[in-house]
Amino acid sequence: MDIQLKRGLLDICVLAAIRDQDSYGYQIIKDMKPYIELSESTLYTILKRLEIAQMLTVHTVEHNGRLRKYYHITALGRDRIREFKEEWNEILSIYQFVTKEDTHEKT
Amino acid sequence: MKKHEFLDQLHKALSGLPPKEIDEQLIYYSEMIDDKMEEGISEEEAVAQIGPIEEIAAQFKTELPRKDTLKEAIFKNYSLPLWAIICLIIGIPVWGSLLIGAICVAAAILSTIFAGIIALWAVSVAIGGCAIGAVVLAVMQFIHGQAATAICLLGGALVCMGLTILLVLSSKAVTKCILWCIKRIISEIRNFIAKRRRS
Repeated sequence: MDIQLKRGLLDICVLAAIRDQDSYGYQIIKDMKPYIELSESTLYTILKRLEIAQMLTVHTVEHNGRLRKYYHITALGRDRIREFKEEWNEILSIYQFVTKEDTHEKT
Repeated sequence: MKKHEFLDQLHKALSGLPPKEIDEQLIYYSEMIDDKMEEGISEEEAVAQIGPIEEIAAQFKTELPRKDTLKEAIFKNYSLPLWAIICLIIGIPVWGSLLIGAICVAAAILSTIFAGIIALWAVSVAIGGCAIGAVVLAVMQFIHGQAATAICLLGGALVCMGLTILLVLSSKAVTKCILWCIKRIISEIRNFIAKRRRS
């Protein structure tokens, strides 16, 4: 898959993983596992990218005598998910157009 | 490999990056290993699951977008044609004074709001002080045999205490509400700027 496209999709996946409630790194990986395999280092760069883009914020919570970072989606992050949903119809029509061309080629 | 060895090696592999970035990464991976171990995975296995250190360092260095400096952000996103720059320079006396005026108005509004908050808290503290003073006076009057005055003073103290509680609670609520509003306005402005930069 095109790197830029994959990167954008993974950003949306991570935003979706923290959409309903704040979450932490390992939990995000576990939540996404049934749908997509994500390495810890990939997740780190995504989280960092989203934080710089102000789509999420980070706060620290004490857990079992140590500190754990939780990620919280911002209004900008929610907007990005909404935009993605709107863009998806466009992507689907492009896909349908491309696959239609394939069937023409076969025949 | 043990967790501390992994973190030491990662620290070395990330050398050259700003210390803050290195610290953030070390905290992230340390937390990740701890979370895995909490689920019953052994320390060595948890470290092994994270993957090769060289890959982590390489991925971070190549994939992460660099945060633009303020100067870069302005010049990258708001680059203006030459005529506009000349007009801006010539028009400094007009827009400069308007800008200063706007800043002063914003500062005045903020000072008024904060003065209101401070006044509210000052009144609460003053009435609280009156309550304490009235109790002390009541005790003294009681010692000197002026029971009726002492009871009157105690009654006044109780009223003051009640008022203090009410005022402290309302001051707290008002302060919280105003701070929330200010925070919200700032975040909306930041979101608006970030949105414009993205589009």
